[in-house]
Amino acid sequence: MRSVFFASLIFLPACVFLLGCETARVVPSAEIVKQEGFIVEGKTRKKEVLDRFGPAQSSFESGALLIYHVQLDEQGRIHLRRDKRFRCDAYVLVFDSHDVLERHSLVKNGCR
Amino acid sequence: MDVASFILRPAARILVAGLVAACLPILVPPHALGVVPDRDAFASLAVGVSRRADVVLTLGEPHYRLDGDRFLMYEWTVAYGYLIFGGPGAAAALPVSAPHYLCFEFAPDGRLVRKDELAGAIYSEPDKAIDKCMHPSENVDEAIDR
Repeated sequence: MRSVFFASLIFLPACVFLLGCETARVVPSAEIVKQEGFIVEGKTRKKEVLDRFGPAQSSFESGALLIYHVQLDEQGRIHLRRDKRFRCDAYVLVFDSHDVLERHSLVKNGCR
Repeated sequence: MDVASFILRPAARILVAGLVAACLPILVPPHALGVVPDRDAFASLAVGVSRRADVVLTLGEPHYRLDGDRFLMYEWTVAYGYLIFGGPGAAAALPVSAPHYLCFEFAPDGRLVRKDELAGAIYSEPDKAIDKCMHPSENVDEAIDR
């Protein structure tokens, strides 16, 4: 039984060391095979986003910057996050002064 | 170095905790736990050029939004060692860790005017990190006392 304790000296910290951390990073668009089709920079309007996605989880700069909590599945598809037990990715949408989508990104593990 | 600052050092905390708890402390190279902000993205954000939107587009949702979003902060945890508890047939490892923060300050037009990394056990209470972010030139304890 003593060996269990000594094995744990290496095994437990090694597990945490190897598995304990993920980086919040922008997902390259090539990894997203099927995005919500209506999301087009320079074209999509904020009202359309709000109508389809509902209220955003976070809003900055008087609503010019919206964050939705989504999940990117293994097939590269984005889903609005419904089950809070799983990982959360941040879908960030930036609108210009005319409420037209200017830029957007998907940040893996980007929710708080 | 006074006694208080010695005890606040992560390595010293591990040793002291190990002695007090009669368990085995193990020091490891500092490494992150949980979700960590993208360090390359942090480095790419340029003071005077990048905007609030650039920060959020690259790092995601911040942990703290302060003073009408003039300040944004991101937090993650770094482990410096582990306390090993064990007995016949069972063992557990408890990380000894400290929070780290990225602090961003923006001008009224949304342009980034300052970015800092705050690290160390002195920020184990978020209030101290928040005060240091919002008042970078002041002593942390003085800011807390205000």
